Amino acid sequence: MRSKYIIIGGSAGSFQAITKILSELPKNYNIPIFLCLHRLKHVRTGFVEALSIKSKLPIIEPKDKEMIKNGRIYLAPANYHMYFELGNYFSLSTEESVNHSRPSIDLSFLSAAQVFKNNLIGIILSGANRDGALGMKEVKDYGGITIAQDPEECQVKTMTTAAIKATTIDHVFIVDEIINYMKNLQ
Amino acid sequence: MFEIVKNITFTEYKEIINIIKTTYNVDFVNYATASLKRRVERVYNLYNFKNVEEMLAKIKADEEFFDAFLKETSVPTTEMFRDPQMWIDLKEKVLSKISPRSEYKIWVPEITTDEELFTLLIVLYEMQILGLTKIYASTNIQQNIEKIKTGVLDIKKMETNSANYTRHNGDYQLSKYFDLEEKRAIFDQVLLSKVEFKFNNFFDINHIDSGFNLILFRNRMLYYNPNLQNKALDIVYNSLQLNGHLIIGINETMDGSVHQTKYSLISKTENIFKKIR
Repeated sequence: MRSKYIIIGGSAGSFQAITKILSELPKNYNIPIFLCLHRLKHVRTGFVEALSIKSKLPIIEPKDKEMIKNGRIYLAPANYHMYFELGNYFSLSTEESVNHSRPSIDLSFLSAAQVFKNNLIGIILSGANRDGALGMKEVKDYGGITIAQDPEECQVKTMTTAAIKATTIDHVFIVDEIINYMKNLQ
Repeated sequence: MFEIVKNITFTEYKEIINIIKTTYNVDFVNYATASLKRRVERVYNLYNFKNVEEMLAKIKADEEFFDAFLKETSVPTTEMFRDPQMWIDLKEKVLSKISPRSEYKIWVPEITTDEELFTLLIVLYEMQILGLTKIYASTNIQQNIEKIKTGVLDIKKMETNSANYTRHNGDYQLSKYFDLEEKRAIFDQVLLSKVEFKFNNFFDINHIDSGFNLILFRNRMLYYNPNLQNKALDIVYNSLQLNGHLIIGINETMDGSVHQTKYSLISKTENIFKKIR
């Protein structure tokens, strides 16, 4: 079986969902997970530490051109877009903000879709803008699996409903179902 | 509104890169694909090309368009005083120690937009060492030089710029250095006149200058693949004086490069390096 990759996008109201997901994943979870979460541009530190509290897996902000390794969780660093290259490594970018965001969920999802194609699972969580909707469409168009957090469960449902409108969503899940799905991928 | 343009396949992208190489001897082969491909698609969209052939023909036949193409594919430098702590460390750990008796040569290679340069000028001015310094900024994109020389910034960017200026503990208000209009902020032309612009290709070894005390090279290598990053590191290493300083972006790295051992780290979090051998 080809190796899988999971990319998760989230904004306002996604922190709780993310920490719950991270706390439930076992220590030997092997699939690389990319987190693209809206965050303050000028605050570089603290986010990884906050996410790490409940995670059994190491969380890393990748450096430019860092190799992607299994069993790690990667968080898009503040004030950079996070891209993926053929050859299994990251590229960072300081291109213009998209949807007022850098990192942009759309750009990360688009890049991941082009590189990982049908080996990619795209997950969109709670958020207050439309970032990620087009990215989810790209994941779907390139043959990946799309999952949206159930808008009814989201603290702010703008982001998930935008994604649901933009493309075919394979699964609309509450967080517990997302966790089960992720665990069963191994 | 952000739109995804998906008209260019990897094969077509490679074709475009090859045409540019053979026509203008500008080598994008070793650029990081993810961002450059997206930026090429951006140009494609901006000029409403109907197909890739049309774009290829225009690149080949129209040198002026090619300069515009380079400008649009180059990545701007986001904000003034980006990573304020870097500017604090630069002041405290490097610039406060320079000799008042000799000229201090600074190079900003691969410059695309004005923010980094304006920031540098303000820092040197506030430290009262601008008179000691000689600043060179280089690029192979004529339109970017022309744009920087106007000193014009979008007024919308000034909020972030001012906040960063304050975070770096500036002596005044950032507005001191600008004429503020309704939509534009125009940078102090006297300060700007301290910069010598050089129009050349960074990777063309015939143009390489040397003897620099400081090279400000932040977030430029992001757009290169690892091979080209090594080449860029060769160039800056050879251009730098012994004991001179090199600054790269906070998420860039020299790990795995032969140059890693030739520098000592002056600021670990801000990636300020000193050439020691």
